[in-house]
Amino acid sequence: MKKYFAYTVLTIAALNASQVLAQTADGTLNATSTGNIDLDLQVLDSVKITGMDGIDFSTYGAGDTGDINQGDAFCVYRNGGDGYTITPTSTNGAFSLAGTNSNTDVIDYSVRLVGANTGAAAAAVVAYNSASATFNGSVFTDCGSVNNASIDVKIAEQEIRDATTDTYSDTLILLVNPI
Amino acid sequence: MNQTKAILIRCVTSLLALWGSYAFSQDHIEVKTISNFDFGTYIAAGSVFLENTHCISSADTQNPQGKNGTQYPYKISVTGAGGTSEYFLHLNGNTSETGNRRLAIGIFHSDIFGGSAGYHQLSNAIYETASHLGQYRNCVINGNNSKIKIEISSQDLSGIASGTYFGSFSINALGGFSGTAVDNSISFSVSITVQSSSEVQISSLDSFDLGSYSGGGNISTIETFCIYSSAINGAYNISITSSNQDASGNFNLKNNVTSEQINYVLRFIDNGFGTPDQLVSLAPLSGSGNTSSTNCNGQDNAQLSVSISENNLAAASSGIYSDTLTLLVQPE
Repeated sequence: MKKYFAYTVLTIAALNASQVLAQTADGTLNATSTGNIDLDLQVLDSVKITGMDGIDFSTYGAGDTGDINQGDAFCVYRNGGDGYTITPTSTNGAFSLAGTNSNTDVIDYSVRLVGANTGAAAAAVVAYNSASATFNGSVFTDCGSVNNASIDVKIAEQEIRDATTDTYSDTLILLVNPI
Repeated sequence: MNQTKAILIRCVTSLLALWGSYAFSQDHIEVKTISNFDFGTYIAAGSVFLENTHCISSADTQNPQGKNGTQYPYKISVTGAGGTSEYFLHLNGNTSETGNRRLAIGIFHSDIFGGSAGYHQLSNAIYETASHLGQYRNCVINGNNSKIKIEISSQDLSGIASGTYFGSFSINALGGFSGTAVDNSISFSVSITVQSSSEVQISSLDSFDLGSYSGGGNISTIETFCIYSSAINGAYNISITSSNQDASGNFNLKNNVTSEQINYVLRFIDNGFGTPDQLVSLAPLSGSGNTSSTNCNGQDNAQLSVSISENNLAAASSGIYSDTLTLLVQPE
């Protein structure tokens, strides 16, 4: 039995703020002349998740025992280094690996997320289609080449024991929400 | 009978003499060229005046020497820009200028051979009240007889905008044998360059609307505007400051809610072409402004550019950031 999944990324940018320009004024004709120029910029929410890799559980056979888990570290940019959450969903509609050979068995798994490049395995479980805890992103769109978030996917041994021999897969979707 | 014949002969002789006199007379009035009045550059305080002489002939003879003719009276008027009782010079000769960009002058006339009456002030386009005895053609016997004086008072020069003021005026002479002959063919100009108080104006300023930023790339935008300077060669310096500027002269947009700042780079160029290349910091920058039009005739001649790096933008929290630049222009 081979279990793997990939995940897809969504980013969100809020676009609902309004902008107001102040008063720019010309100078008068005189011995000196003073004018004013206003500058206005609206910075919108922006996030970006990059650096994800597929999670491959490889094979689980008769000689294997115990729960299994695998993780991946990635980068989340958030303007201003401000807060964000991640809402995980999957193409299977649940945290379940599905068989690929007309097999109706599924293998459920759990997801944990953390705002650091390690330590997700010890984090709290995130329910399907629910927001994670709030983390802070990097002010660099590439995180300065240092991942700043990670995910851990865990499968209980019994889930695997209950499954027919097959290759099981899913695609995780991680929706990053600026806070 | 003889007495009657004698009277008849005398009458005929008198008529012939009168006819002869009239037949050989010419109704003559002529104004000769007069030099222009160029006051040069005015720097010191006080009133200034210039005088020029020329010839005005008013006679009745065709004889170039005119020695056997009769001199007749003449009077003149001078016509130019201004109202009934005043004459104006205008900055750069632009007659639409008003206020301290036009200069009132007095125009006076005197006939050198006219006795002790001396100068009397002329009113615009109105013939002088008193007549003067005109000279023979070309003033060949006595020389120039007409003298015109242009006077500019210190009061009128006080507070006037710097620059070159110019006006053109025409002389209208009335006289001749008939008293109605006219010559209005001669004009003269009056010019003065005032340096006492250079003026500047900055205009056509527009806001930098940097738009909404949702990630991806730098921001760079340019605004153009007009700088007028009446200083020599339009020289000026400009100081650009902001309340969000730091002690090193760096410029910042500021979020007025959180006080967070975004650094930006400001560059300036003193003409309407090319990319702004002078980094704006604490020191004033020099430039050359438009010297003839306070609105640059609609052709902006200075530029500012604002550049914000992607890194600085990415590091900024969401919100509205603003700044107000103060541009102080001074003549050099």
